[in-house]
Amino acid sequence: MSDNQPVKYLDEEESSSSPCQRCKVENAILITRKEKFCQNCFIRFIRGKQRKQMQDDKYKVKYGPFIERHGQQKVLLALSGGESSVVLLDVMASLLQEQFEAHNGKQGFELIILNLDEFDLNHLNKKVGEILPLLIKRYSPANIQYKVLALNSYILDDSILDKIVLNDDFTGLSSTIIGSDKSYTLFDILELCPNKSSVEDLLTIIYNELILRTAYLEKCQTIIYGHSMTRIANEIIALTVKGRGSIIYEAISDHSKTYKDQQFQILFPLRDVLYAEIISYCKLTNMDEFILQSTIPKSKINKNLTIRDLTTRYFSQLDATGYASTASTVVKTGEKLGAPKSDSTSLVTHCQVCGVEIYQDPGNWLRNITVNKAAPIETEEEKEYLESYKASIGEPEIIDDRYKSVHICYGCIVTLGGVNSVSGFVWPLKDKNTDHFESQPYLVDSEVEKQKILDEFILTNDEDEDDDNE
Amino acid sequence: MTDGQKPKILKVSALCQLCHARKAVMKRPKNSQKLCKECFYNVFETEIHNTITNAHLFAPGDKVAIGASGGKDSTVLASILKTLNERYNYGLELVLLSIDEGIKGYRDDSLATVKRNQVQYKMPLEIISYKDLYDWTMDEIVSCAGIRSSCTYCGVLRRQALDRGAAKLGINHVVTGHNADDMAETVLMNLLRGDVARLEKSCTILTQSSGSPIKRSKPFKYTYQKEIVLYAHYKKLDYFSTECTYAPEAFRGTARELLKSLEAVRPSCIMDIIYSGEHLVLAPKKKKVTTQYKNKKKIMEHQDDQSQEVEINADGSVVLKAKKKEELKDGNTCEKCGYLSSNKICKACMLLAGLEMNRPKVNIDNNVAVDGAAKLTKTLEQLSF
Repeated sequence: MSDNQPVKYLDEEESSSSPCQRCKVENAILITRKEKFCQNCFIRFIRGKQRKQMQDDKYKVKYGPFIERHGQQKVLLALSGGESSVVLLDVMASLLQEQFEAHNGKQGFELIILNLDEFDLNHLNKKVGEILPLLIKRYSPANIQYKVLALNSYILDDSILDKIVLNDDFTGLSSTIIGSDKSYTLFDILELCPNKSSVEDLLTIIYNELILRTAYLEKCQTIIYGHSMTRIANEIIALTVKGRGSIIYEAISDHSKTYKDQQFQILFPLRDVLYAEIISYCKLTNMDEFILQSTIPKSKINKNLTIRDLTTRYFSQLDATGYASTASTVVKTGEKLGAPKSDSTSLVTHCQVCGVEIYQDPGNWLRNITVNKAAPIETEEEKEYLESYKASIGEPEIIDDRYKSVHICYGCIVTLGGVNSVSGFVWPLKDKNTDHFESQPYLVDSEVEKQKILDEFILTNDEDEDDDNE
Repeated sequence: MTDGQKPKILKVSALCQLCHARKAVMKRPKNSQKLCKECFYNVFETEIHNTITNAHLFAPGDKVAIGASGGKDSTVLASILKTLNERYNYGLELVLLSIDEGIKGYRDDSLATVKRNQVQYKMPLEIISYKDLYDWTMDEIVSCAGIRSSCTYCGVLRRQALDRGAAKLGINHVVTGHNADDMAETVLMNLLRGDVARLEKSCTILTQSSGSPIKRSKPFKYTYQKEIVLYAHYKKLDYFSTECTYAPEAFRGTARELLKSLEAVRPSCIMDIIYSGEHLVLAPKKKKVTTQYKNKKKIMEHQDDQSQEVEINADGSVVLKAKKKEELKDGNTCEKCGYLSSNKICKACMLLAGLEMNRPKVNIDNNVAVDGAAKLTKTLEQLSF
C-alpha cells in the first residue's frame, strides 16, 4: 500500500540515481507531489508554504516609517504539541532566526507560544513545560516567549456558571447555580457530558475562547494554528457531521475575529501542506522527540471513538488507498463557502453556549421532524398503566421564573442532547459579563521564569531600579 | 397479541416513553427512544406529514407518480402516501411508475413486487424500460462499458426515463423514496468530491427547473432508513430486499462506511449532516485579479485570436456561443432528444452515442453471457475467430 502514500521515500539505490529536482545537486530522498526532493529542498519547500501565507509586510523586519505604520507585531502560536504545531513552531522560529541574523538582531514580530495544558486530560507522555525550553533553545538567539495555561482557567469564577436544561421540545432553560454549595471545575463540567463526542465538541469551544483571551491579554494581533491541509479537510467534514455546517466558511478560512472590541487575524500558515508532509518534515528536522503523545491507546471499537477520531481515521485511510487528493478537494470546496442567508423573518441571534450565529430556529426545525407525541390511549389497561407511571414519577419539577430561556444553536443542542435531566449541564453562558479579568495565571511563563533567575542572581547596586511588581 | 395468556403486569420502565401506557417494543433509531408500535407509527407518519405540509409539496387534485422500484423505500413511500392521502385529505391521485433497467436476476424480480403492490394499494402502474427507450438494457451497457461506470449510466438514464414516464402519463410530479441516509451521504459526497455546483441544492426537498415540466420531491428527506425498515417490518409490507447486482462505485462506498460508523457513535448525525447541508451556501464569487507583469503586449495581440476560438464537442459538433449566459443554465434542451440539458447534447445522448460506437458488431446467437456477466462477455469479445 505504501505506493499510494502521498509522500514516498526513496531507498538508497533509487536515491543515488535520482538528483533533487530543485537544486539538481543533492540526491533526492523523497517524492511528494510528483517531485523529487533532497532533504534541504524539502524543508525549504515546506517553509516556503508558510512564507507565502504570511507575506504581509507587517511580519517583516521594518525600518523607518514602516515601524510606525505597523507598530510592534505580536504573533500567538497555538501549540498543542502534536506534529503540525511543532512543525509550525520550527517554521516560524527559523524565520525569526533568519531575520535576526540578516538584520543585526532585529525581528519582524514577537512570537509567543501558547500551550493549553492537556497533560491530565489526555494523559500525555511528557510535560510540555519541560519540552518547551529545550525546543526554544534550538532557535537561539531568536527571542521567543512561551506560556502554558491550565484548561481550568476557562472558568474564571463560579459566578459565571449557569445550570442548563434541554427540554424535550429542544428549547433550553438556564438557572443560576449561585446558592448551591457545589463548585465546579472544568473537569466536573466535562463529567456531565453525555458522551465523548460532546466532550470533544465543548473542548473546541473552550480552546478557541482561551486562545482568543490570551491573545487579547498578551496584545497579540495575529493568532496562528498549525493545521495541515488534511486537518482542515477533516475539520470541514467533522463540522458538517456535528451539525455546525454554517460556520465552516469562517472556521477554516484565514479570517479576522473580533473579541472584546479587538480585531484578531487568525491564520493557518500550513494550509497548503499535507499531513504526510508534516510527518516527513518532523522526521527530517529531528523533532520527533518533542512531540507530545497521549498514552491512552485509541480504541479499536467504533463505538468508543469520537466523531473527530472517525473522520481522522477516514482521511488517513483515504491516503492509504490512493485518494489522498480528497483532502485538497474538500479544502478547496470549503473555501468557496460563505455565510448562510438568514431567515428574513427572524433576526440572527447568537448561541449562548458557543457564541455562533443562529440563522434558522433549530428547535423548530427539529420539532417538525422529531415528533414527540404519543398515539391516543384507548383501552382501560393502557389507562391503568399511565396512572401507575404517573404515580411512579411523582410531581414534576416546576419550571418557575428562576429559569430563563436560552438561545442554543443546533450544534450545541446536539452536543447537550442526552444530558441527564436531573443533574443538568453547567456552563458559563456567553452573554455573562466577563470583562472583569485583566490577567490570567499561567502554569509556565517564560518571562516569569526569566525574571525569577534575574531577580535571584543579578546583584543590583541601585535599589531604586528594582521596582518590579510581583 | 397475547390474548390467550394471562397478561403479565408490566414494569413502569418497560413502558413506551411517549404514551407510558403500552409496552415498548422497539428502540427508535433516530433518538434511541423506547416506543410502542402505535406511538412509532404515529411519530413516523406525523413527521412525514409535517415534511410534506411544511414544504407545500402537494396541492389538492395533483396527480403524483411514485417512483417505485419494489425496494423498501419506495414500497413504504407508496403505502404511507396512500395512508396520509386518506387521513389528511390531500386529494391526490397516486400512480406507480417503475423503470425496468434490464438487469436480469434483480429488476425482473423486484418488478414482480411492484406488480403485487399495484394490487395491494389499488394504484395504476406504468413500467418504462430502458430497452424501449434507449434500445439498451443495463446488462448490455455493462457488458459494453464495463462494470465500473455502471452507476453513472444507470443514474443518468433513469432520471430521464422517470421524466419521460411521467410525461407519458400526463403527470408533472414524481416522488422518490430517497431517505435521510441518502441525503446525508449526498452532502458528504458533494464535499468530498468538490461538487460545488450541487453543494447548495443537495438538500432541497423539491427540485424543479424551468425547462422541465416535471417536479421531483423527496418526502422521506428526514426519514431514517432504519425506521423505514422497521415500519415495513411491523406493517408487514411486501418488498424486495436484494441489492443491485452492480455494486456502487468504490469511493461512494468509503463515504457510506464512514456514515455508518458515525451513526453508531451518534445516531442523530444523519439529521445533523442534513442540517449542515441546508446551511452550506456558496460565497459570492470574487473576481480574481491577476496583475500581469510579463508579456503584456503579447497577450494584447492574442486577444483578437481568442475571440474567434471555438469549442468542439466530443461528437465533433461545434459549440454555439450563447448570447446570454443564463440561457445555457436553465431551460436549454438537447438537440438530439429534446430533453432538458445544460449542454447542446444531453448527458444521456452523450453516453448513448459513446456506447453505440462500442456496440459489438457481431452478436453471437443465443448469447446468454450478456445477461449481467460483464466479465465473461469481455473475454468472449476478445476471442478471435
